[in-house]
Amino acid sequence: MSSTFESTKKAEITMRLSEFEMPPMQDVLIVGKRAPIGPEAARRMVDILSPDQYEIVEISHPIIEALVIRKSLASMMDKDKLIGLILDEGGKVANESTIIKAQLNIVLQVSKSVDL
Amino acid sequence: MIACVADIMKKDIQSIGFFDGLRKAESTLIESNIDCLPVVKHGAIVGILSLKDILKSHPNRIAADAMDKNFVSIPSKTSLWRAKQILEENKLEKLPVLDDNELVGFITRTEVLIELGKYTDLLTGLYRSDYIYHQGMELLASGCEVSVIFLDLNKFGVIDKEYGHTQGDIILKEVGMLLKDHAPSDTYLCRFGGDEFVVLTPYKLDKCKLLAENLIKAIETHIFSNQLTITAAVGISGGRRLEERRIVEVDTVIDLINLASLASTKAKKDKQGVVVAEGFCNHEESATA
Repeated sequence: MSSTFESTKKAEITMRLSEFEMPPMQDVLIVGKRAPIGPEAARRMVDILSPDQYEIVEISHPIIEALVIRKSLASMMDKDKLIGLILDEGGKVANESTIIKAQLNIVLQVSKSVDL
Repeated sequence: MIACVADIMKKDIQSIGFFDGLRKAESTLIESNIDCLPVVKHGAIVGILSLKDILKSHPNRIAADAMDKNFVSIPSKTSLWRAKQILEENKLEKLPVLDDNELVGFITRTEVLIELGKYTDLLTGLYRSDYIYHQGMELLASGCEVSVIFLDLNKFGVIDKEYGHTQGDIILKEVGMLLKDHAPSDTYLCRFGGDEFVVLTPYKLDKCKLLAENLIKAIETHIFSNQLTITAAVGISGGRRLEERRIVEVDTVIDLINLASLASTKAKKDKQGVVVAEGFCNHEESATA
């Protein structure tokens, strides 16, 4: 008794193309204490990808080890206030092993009146 | 004369780069059968990475992001007693040895304790003379007053000959315990040799003399387990400094001990309890002349 088997191998390829964001970390990175990269690696990454544009702030927090903040944000408002705000909101969603990418828009509203 | 870190440190040092990954660090630790590695950046040590640090970090991390940056180090000339103190104060198992900010070796707590065991008298459990030289140097360096009590048991040779060496050993052991009990916590005690003991104090002469008299009294009034009566002769040196010391060298401590030793011989000969040495440190005199 004989039988014949036919076999074929196929590969399906899907490709998704999108633009690489520059810089990939946007405005803020919240680095967890057991995240795959730590502050020094983040420093190295941002220094290579976007020299002089980011600042690494190591912080004392139960689950967050450091923040990578775009320098221009810190020049728009008090750095400690900014960090407090990021930790307040970011701390709610971050955990020890994650790196959270955050987008932050600061709009300054100034209103002045002058004597005519 | 004083055992130091350089005598026992391991010079074959494995290290890891600041940007090296934890996987590499882990394999280095396992292959070298060690439990921590110095992290080096531009030739200088910037942290210590232990197996514990690796275990609590993500394996993708670099050494710089897992190492302990607040490490403690010591120079190779540090005495072993100081090294032991640093290890205990900081609750550490290992210490990197740095000379001019360059890593030259490593010492472990176990190695330090084993080595210091060699400087402990097995009979009395007291340290040997090296310990006093080290503590003397520490006192001099901190600008403290230094005085030495050299205590010599009277007619100990006769006891050994008449009652046997085992009875002599009982006396030495109990004298060691008595001195340990009566020496204040800010003084340092050692069995200097044979039937001689040294107490190093940060006291001025009067206070030192008072302590010496208390120690003699404690020995004389103690009922030894072999019912023998023991007395001691004491020589005292130091404790009379009027100016700040210009030199901090081990020779000063050696001179002080020698003067106290000679004074104890005089005390023994003249059958006096305590004799205060009249001379001064030869070393200091010649150095300042």
